[in-house]
Amino acid sequence: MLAHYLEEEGLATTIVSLVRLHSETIEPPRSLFVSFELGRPLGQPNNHVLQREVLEQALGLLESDNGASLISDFDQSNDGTETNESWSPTATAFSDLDMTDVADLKKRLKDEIETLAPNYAMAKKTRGRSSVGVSKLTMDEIAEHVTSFLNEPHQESPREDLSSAMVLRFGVDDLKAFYAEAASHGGSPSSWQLGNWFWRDTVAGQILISLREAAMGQSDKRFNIVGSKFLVPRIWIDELNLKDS
Amino acid sequence: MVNVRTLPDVMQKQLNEVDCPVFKNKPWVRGGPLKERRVAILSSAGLHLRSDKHFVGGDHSYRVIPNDTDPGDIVMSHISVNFDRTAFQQDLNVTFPTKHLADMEEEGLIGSVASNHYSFMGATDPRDMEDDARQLAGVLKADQVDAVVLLPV
Repeated sequence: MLAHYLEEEGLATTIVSLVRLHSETIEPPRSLFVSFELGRPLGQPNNHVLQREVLEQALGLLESDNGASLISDFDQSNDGTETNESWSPTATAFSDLDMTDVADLKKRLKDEIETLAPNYAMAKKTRGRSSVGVSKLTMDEIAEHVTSFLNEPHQESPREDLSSAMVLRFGVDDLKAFYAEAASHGGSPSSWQLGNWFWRDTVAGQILISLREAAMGQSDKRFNIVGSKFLVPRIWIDELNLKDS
Repeated sequence: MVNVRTLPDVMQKQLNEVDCPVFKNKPWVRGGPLKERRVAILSSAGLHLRSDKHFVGGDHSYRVIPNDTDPGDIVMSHISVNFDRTAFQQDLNVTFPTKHLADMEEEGLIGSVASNHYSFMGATDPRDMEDDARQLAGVLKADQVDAVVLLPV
């Protein structure tokens, strides 16, 4: 739709489309359909050859004189379920968790973060960037805030400009980014491998699953929405056979 | 359809049932060869500078990301958790390919790279973004941009 508006204003556009049905219905001027995972318009991380191919093909559509609603298909696909055998997950503090012992869970989470910290630091240095930081909290503060909801949903916000529930949401985003960046350092795991590791084998994953369950039964509206909708991805709710919200 | 094999039924259903508009007119802007075009990225990944306001539900505004921004200064606050973020976390270029555009400019494949790029947050109904998008078109034209590549997530 954005392409349609821009084109009406006189700007030539080309879109990399992840959902062919939407392009077929909306009919943007030019779209290159790619059969990649949602979230990966140019394919795979660190596969710059593939990324360039997608980008060049998408931009190449600008030279077509088709006249209206051109949909082209990229000839490679990747659904993210491949397994990279050379990647091995980072050891975590996951074993014999008592999900009712919040003090122990908090300690285990902090231990796990500490275990991953060297890999995270190396990944950040190697990549020259990190995507962690939307919550503007330290990982220790995130661990405190996230686990505090296991005891009591009416938490004070650690930030003046955001509600407690919003800080929870961004803190969880940062937590997941920290884990993924650390665990993928030096390897090329698929998103499926990273997800399996995070949601099945880490203390953080188990805490988020518990938080989601706790939030689903809460009358606190903000915690209920954030906890039930924005902590565990739908694909893992399904894969782990978690209760529907 | 996107990799349906990996999508739970409920997500497939949601994607299939998205209320997409059907436009009567089919605008088509012709331009010169790609090697003479000035290219900007328009992402809908909810990207922004660390110093910018994060995106919230229903947000129809966009954020400006200067082309020379340090990659470490770009973060994501898209409200949906139902797309893969691990690729973005490992490599900015898989969603926001400024490096590739710079290389393509150097190789003469495109004319130049825009001064700024832009991001909306795709969970908002794009119909609510129409005014902002049309205003953005003026901003892009003021930067002499004549090619926009849209990258959703």
